[in-house]
Amino acid sequence: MKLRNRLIIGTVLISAAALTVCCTLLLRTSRAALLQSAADYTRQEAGQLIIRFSSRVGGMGEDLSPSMRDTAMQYYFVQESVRSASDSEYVLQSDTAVLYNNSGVDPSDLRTIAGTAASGTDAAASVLKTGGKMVAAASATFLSGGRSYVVSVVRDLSGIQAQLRGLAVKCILISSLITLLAAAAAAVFLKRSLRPLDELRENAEAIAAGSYDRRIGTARRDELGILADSFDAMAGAVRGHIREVEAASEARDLLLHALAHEMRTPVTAIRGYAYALQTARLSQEQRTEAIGFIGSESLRLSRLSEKLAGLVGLDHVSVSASETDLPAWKAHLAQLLKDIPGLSFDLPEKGTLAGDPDLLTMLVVNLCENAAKAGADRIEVRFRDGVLSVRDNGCGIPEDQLELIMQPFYRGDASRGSEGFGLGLALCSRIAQVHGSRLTVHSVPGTGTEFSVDLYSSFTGS
Amino acid sequence: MSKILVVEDETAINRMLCMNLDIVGYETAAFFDGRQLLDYLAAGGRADLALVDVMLPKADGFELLEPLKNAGIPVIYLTAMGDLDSKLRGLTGGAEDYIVKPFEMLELLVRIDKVLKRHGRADGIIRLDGITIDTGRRTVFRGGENISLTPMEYDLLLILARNRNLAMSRERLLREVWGTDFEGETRTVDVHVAQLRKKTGLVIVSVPKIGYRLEADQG
Repeated sequence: MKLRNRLIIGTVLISAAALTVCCTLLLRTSRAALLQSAADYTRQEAGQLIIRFSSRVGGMGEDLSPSMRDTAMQYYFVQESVRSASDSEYVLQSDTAVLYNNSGVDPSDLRTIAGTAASGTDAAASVLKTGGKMVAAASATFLSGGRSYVVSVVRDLSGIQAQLRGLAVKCILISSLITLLAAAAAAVFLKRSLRPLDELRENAEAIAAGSYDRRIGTARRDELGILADSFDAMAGAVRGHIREVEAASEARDLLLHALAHEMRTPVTAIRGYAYALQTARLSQEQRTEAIGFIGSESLRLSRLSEKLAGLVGLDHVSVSASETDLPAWKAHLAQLLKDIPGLSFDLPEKGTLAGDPDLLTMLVVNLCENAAKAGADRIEVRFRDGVLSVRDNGCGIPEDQLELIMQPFYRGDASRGSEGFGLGLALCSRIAQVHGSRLTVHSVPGTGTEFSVDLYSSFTGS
Repeated sequence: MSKILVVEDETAINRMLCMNLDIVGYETAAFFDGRQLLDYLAAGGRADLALVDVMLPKADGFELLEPLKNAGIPVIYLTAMGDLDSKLRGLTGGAEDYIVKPFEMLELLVRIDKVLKRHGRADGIIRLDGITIDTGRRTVFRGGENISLTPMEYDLLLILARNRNLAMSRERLLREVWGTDFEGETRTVDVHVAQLRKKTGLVIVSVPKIGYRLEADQG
């Protein structure tokens, strides 16, 4: 997970940088403080040395010669130095010569320090680097018998240096540890926080592979939670669309299969007759019969494909709610159905038909023709309260067949071998559907049947 | 005269089958549903073969197999269902053969012929236009007079007679009679047909683009 790694690395870098800065500052201030305090201490020591030393040499006469004085000073200084309990080195120098120096520090440096003192006899201190090590040096000027001497105290700071190094090492170790812990904590935290992304990926892969029911279903309300919810919504939409497409495709397959099947019968007849006409010696009668059958079977084939084209074509039709004048429609229907026995109409005198006039005409004609085939001699076409219905007193349909009859190519025993293909009702059903309604049927075997479509609700915005 | 029952509910197909079988010289009886056939059998009706459509109203085609077998009538099924299950069901049940719609009429005729031969129902004596062919003895008579034919001529006559009124290609005649099938040698067929015409006086017409057709009525 690159994002996670990037975030962890970022955390590590930030924490390392911060710790480095902190530690550096810490070490520097510590060092400064330590050195300053060492210098101060050395200065104090120098101050005390001066006091002790001056009390010792205070009794010396005024009229000693310079060289005598120097020697005497040296003598007392060495004593003082030896007697001192401190670790520091003492240095004494006159204007002209270095009288005692065991410190390893260049005496001119010491003299320079003395020069920085605030007032003539105060001590001044400084930190020096000599020969690879650090020392704190304090110097003061001392007057005796008219001559000035510089007294210095030199303290080795190696110990402090070692201390500082130790501190630095500790800082580094602790920083590293903290950084590691930060990285680990970040890793764990990020792993948990970003888990939804993994789930998202898994789900997306599963959906791509075809299982459209997978959902994340998170309860989180943060950005990832919202993303997960959106994803679930999308998955739901995809499944819905896929199902629609599959259903439509299945329906079409069934239809095509049925078509291919239904075609076999007329084709068999046509082939057989054609064969006879071509190869056999036929009487005039036989020839006429053969040709006649070829004609009627071909017609059957073409009507079949027309009806199917109608069904398939309706998939793409969006029906407009046009307004057809009712009396005009009644006249049109009467003309089309003039051969139907016992036909009557129950339509309002005035008003309009809400729906596609061509499709609804097809529907009514189909239903009337079916009724006639079922042996009805009284058929009524009715349109009241927005419901269009066709009622007949034919042989009726048994209850267990009511659902089956709407399917394409279902014929029921009665009409096998007759003109119908069993497509009529499927077509009517589809026409009703396209109007946003359903074709319903109520039938009592032996008494009659009523088919109806409720057009009212579909067009009045319910 | 072999008798064939045609059991098919689609009028067009039923009429077409009867017509073609009739032309070739079979006796036919047409039935439009299972009930009609069962009534016929119950009344003692007999036949040499039955063509049965698998999908019939009032009786599944397969249900009729039993009664037909009991009556000693071999069955060839006609069906629109080409799936293996139906085929197996039909054949393992005891039907002789199974043909899928739409089929070549010629193929059906050949299969009918085979089944009849297998059951020994093929005509022993063939009569047409005054000629009598005794297939058992391989003799041909006109009136009481024997007509002498070479073996090849006889075989050719037999196949033309069995497919009377139907045009047959030279290639098929060559194959069936001489057992060979190569171009150019169909002249043999022409020569033998001419001989047959002379010797038997039967009407064998040359049908353009197809072949030869022996035209004759029953008896």
